[in-house]
Amino acid sequence: MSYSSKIISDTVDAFSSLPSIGKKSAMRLALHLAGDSFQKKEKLIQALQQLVNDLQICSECFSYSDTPICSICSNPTRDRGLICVVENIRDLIAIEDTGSYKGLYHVLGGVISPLEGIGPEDLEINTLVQRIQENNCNELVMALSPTIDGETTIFYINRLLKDVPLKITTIARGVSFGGDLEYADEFTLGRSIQSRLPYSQRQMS
Amino acid sequence: MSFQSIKSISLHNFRCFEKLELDFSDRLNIISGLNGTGKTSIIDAIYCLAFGKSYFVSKEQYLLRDDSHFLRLEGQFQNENDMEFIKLILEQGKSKRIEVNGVKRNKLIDHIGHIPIVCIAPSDIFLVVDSSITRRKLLDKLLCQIDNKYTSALYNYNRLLKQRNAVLKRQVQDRTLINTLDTQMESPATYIFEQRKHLLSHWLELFHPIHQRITGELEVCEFDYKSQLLSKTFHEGIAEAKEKDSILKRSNFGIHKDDIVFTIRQSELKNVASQGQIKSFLFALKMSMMHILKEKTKKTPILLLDDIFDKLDETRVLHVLDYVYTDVGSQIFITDTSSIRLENIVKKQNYSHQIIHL
Repeated sequence: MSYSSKIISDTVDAFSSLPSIGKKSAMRLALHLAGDSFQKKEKLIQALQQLVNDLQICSECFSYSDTPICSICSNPTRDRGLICVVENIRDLIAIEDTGSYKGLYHVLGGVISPLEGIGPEDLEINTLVQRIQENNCNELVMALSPTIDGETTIFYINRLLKDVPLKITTIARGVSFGGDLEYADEFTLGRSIQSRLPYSQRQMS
Repeated sequence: MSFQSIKSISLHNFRCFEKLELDFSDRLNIISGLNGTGKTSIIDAIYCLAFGKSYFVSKEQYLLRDDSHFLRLEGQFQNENDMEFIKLILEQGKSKRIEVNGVKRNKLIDHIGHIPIVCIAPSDIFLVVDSSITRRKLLDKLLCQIDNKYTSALYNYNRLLKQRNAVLKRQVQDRTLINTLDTQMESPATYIFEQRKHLLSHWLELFHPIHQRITGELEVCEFDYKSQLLSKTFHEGIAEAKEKDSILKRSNFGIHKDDIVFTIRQSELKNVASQGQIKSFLFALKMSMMHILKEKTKKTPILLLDDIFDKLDETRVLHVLDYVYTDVGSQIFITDTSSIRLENIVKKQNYSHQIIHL
């Protein structure tokens, strides 16, 4: 694609470097912005500037934060004895959106996979252990992907914490809510049958 | 038990054929022709329709005729009263498309095992002469077709093994991580070991009478399962191997070291057996494998025999033919450069057959 302006062309290139934005979408965004009012552009620039200059990583849970300690970690109403371990911030947001979790989080930054060059030392595992030893934590909820590498990570953390008096749980794996049984894949359904629950426990809040 | 057969096939730009249409006999089909006339291609076309990939050609582009940019295979299959039309289309630069009765298959893996087929070809010799991986693959291929749990155990084990080797190759080997992986590997390793052991002893039981039948004499052939897990549990073995693994930077204990040893009169087959003896052995091996598939799928598989009579004497050919025609009762496809020898036997035995000259 050729443009009459190098500025537009540079903007298009910058946009298309973002995930799930192709050349066409990038062009649409660039042309849209070019025609927009000054205030709107200013707002976007301000947001981006803050993102670059002011965004921090929470020193407790390693999620994004505006302050050295994030709003979840500093919230006095949250249950401090409960820590939910997640792979990344996207998963944290997903759990937070359910509205049914009132504890704290810990973002690992991935799962252990030496094949891809990710060892335990590349993740926030040591900081997790330290955090548990320093604070009174009763329960660790493992909310990692149900893959073989996710399992390895859970096993590994479990091993590191074997002498710490602490309850370690994992999120349930099974049939999705509101889904039809016949559409569940064999593996999930098989696992759900194996780890079935007494009826009374099924009644969730 | 239901009878599986293929009624007709049409080939378009497949290997050496621009266009070819054939009808088959339900029982015995003899395909004869000189070298390079496409005998094996016909067998491969049938295999492709059933498995979605070639038995003989590893790179898909070589299935295309000369410089044509697409190929199409169509086959009419019958199982009892059910007719099925299977179509396979391969276009350059596009993914392969398989349709069953006009409905597209989303995943190739859903198609495998749908039409039971056993193929015996000269390349099977690699099972005897090559390294242990070819024999493990044979075992895995069969077990994966009949046991879903085995498929996932194998997948998990292989993934964990790769991770373990990656840890061992690092500058600093994380002991806790290795121990973690070892614990995780234990359950799939034990399951795979038990299933392989069980399958092989059953396989051997089926193998003996078939081998005896086609050799017509008593050549005592056996196959032994070799696994480190036979003498110790996975837990013990992996713990003992830890020091060695750490120095050599790879995993030396586990089911990835398994092998099957084929023997004749207590000596290893590849060292002492003649070409003909190996051929008879492989034939019985594949035939007994077919019986296992038959038991599990409840269908009589189609048999593809590529050039198998090449190194066999007249008596063995007769035994083999009689066995597959009478005892197995499958629909059979045989290729041979000359049809005369086979024709004589077939006429004498009064087999229902069809000869396809290329």
